Amino acid sequence: MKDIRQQSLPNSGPRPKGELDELKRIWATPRGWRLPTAINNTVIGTLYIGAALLFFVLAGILALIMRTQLAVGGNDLVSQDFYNQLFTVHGTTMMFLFAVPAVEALGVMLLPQMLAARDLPFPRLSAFAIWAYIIGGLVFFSTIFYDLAPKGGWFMYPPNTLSEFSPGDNADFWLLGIGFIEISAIAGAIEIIVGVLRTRPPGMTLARMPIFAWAMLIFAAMIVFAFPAVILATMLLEVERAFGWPFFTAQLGGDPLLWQHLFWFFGHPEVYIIFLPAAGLVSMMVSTMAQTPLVGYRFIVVALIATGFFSFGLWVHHMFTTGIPGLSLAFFSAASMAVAIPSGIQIFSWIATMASSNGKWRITTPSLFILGMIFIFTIGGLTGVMVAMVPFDFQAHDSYFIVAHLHYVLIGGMVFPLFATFYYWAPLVSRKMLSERLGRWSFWLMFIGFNVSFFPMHITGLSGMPRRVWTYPGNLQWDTLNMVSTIGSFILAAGVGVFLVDLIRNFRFGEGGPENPWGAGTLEFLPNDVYSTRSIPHITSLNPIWDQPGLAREVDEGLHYLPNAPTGGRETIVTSAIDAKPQFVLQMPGPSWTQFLAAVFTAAFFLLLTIKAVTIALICGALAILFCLVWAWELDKPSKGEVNIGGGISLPTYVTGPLSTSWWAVVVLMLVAASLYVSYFFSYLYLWTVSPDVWAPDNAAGPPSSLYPIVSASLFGSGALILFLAGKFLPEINTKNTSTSLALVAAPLVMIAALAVEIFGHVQSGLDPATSSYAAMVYMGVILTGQAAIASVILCLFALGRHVTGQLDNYRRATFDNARLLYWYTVGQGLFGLVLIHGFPRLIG
Amino acid sequence: MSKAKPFQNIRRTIGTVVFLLAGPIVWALHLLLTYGSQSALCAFSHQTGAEGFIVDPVNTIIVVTLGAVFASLPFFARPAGAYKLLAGDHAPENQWTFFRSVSQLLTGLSILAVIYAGTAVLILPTCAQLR
Repeated sequence: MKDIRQQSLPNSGPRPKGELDELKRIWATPRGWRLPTAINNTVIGTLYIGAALLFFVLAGILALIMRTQLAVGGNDLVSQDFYNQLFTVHGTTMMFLFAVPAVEALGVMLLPQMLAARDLPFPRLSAFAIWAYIIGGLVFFSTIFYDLAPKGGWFMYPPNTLSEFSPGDNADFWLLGIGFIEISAIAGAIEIIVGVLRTRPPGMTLARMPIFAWAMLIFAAMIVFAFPAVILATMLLEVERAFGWPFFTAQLGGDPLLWQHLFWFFGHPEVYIIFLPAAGLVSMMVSTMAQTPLVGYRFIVVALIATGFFSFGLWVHHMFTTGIPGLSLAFFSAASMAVAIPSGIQIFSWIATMASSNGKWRITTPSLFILGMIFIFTIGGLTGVMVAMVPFDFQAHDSYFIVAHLHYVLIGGMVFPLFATFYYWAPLVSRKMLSERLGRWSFWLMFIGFNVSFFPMHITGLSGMPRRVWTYPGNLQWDTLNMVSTIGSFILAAGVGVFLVDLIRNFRFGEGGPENPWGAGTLEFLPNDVYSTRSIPHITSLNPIWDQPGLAREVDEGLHYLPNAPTGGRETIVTSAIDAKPQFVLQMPGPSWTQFLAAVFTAAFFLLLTIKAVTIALICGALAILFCLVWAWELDKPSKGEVNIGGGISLPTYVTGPLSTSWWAVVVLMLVAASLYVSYFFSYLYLWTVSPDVWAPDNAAGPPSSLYPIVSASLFGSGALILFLAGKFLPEINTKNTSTSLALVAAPLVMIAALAVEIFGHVQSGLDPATSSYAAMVYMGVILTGQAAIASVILCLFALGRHVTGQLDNYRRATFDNARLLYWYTVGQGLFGLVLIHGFPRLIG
Repeated sequence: MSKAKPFQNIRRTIGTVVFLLAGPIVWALHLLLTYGSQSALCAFSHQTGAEGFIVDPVNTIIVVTLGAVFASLPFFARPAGAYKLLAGDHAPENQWTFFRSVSQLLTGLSILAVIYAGTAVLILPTCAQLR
């Protein structure tokens, strides 16, 4: 594409009267009691960050109670049982309710502005994820007040968390509550992946994407591949607790180590899931504070991708002491050291950027937090290399050395950048800047407090103090170190307190804050309002505000793309993933109660299941699905024809298939489902290697007659064929036909029949899931395909409803195409499952 | 817009992603095959007492490591050809330098990690615990 600077601007001015007012009206934020219906990214993003900050403070208070308990030996401030609840809820809240949501919130809040999009493509999905997280998170946290909190640590290792050793509902609150919050995180990840790839402004190729967008893209992709492993783990443990299917019970062929594999396959990438976005934010801020382009942009992109990948090869380094063969440990030790290289690349790049600023580097509150981050995270990284050494880890494992290491990594790698972010990006959503004076106080208190608190823990750990202990004898010479750590923790808390005072005094939500107060070069500092930027700019460099003089004025005068609302509603430009060429104008939904009510009832479903209120939970589940369908009903809007966005470009307002954003969302959803099933496949083979003695055909009821899988496979295949043919014979525009209706009824029925035949075969052969890990795994496979099938069936019936009401034909067919895609995926997974369940026992027999 | 174009775009998108991530993908496959084969073969030998070239994890790991290194080489030696093969088209001119350098740097890092992990088999016992 020819450089836009060499041409005239896409639109001419002055813009017609009323155009700006129309934009403001369309994108207005609901007020008063309708506020929960809001979906604007600045509103829900701020709410999201506010909630995450609340959980940070709450979990921090729990940490202070723990530190007070540990200040002196033999203390009895809290009971042992309550201490177990404290460290479990502290860790769980910090990881699941603060760290991941906080960075996801920053993505929701900053990305549309950074990409100059009106909003991300699925704003209601973001709002759903946020409300689900807030409701679920508050209920989960409140368990600490009722002696109902889980006690098994944030990692919830079985057998300690099996019913025999953890009776009551405490562990279930973790399993169902956190499992559900992970679903919310996945919803956010889908939004971010599709948003970053498809709603960039024209000209913003991959090579011109802001580092934070790269970081969020990798962050979201990591969620897609990491979270399903822990979702499967929580499913298996909950099913074992509820129904006695022995996935983790060694006597019946299960293995507690399976949990550790699944948990840490999620848990280790989780550290980088938290760190990478924070590193992306630091890269953006360092460049601005140095008033110079980031040194080594490509190297940073490489470092982000490499860290994202390598982090998946580290999970066993949490299991070095579990008796795994030494050679296996070496593979993961090597990966653990390899991941230090890309992390180091980023730190050198930041230092090089500061050094190349020719004295322009400014010491502000954000830059202080960044310098603090570099110091703290580097120490955490160095101790990380130490614990990546197997022999050293044997000594340090489960000691306070590890507590020190993980806090240096997580607080240095995520919390300090987050506080820098608060100060740096507050003007985007606040009419006032935060105070530099209070910010500096906050930084120094936090920096000194953190190091006073956590540095001594290295020594405490090397002196032999184990982690997660409620108290310790006073004659082991740990008292002084612990007292110092406790004093440090209160200084750290004082720093956070000063920040909260700053927020109360200075943060005022609303538009009209100072424009580009730091002199940044990226798009989020263009003039903004409820509709994001007035017009969507054409981008020609990495730092457009620095490199395109007059851009802010041009954008604000509506001289770039889409300065108006040609479809009469909310909309944004969708561009191609690689080259960012305009492809179509996406018609977006407005405020609604549907996503809010869907979130409320989804949360109610999971939380009521926890306390075994099954009937009312099922009613809430049905209501959640109903509100999701009502919400989706409003999405597939009819075409408004082609609209002119400026620069002689006319774009369609309706597309389907690979061009549409919803198709991409379904593809990402399929990747999530596939990751879940791959985790199951791994678990199946793992349990076989551990306990071949309970496996069919020799030691359990063998697989049923081959007729069952053949019939089941035929039914799956028939369903896929029915939808293939239905796609060929969709009716002409604005008409209906019977064959489409029949196909959309037949396909779900056939899929249900395929699963029924599979279940019936195993029941007929006398296989009882409670008798062995093999039997439990067989039925679990059906459950996993069953849940994909439920989604497919609902989507097919939804498409049927659209067709019957005249909203689905051979042009307006996005709903059909998406339903068919998911259906085909389910068929693929079902067929793979049949081969595994029926073929593997025959192969080894 | 013709019907075939969206699918051409998708191939180009997927091809570009695979080209950029080729090194890490090879690294991931290497980890899967080395760790998976070593665990499975150790369990198999332990249960059945089987011996021989094929069931010895050392041989598998050496073959897989060499294979991973060789599979990565085209992304160094012939990046343009590798891109065209994967994406079905030439890379956009204004992004080619970026694509090539990201792919090559990632491949280099990945080869380092592959060799780092693979050489362990020459030093350590294949199935025994370290303590």
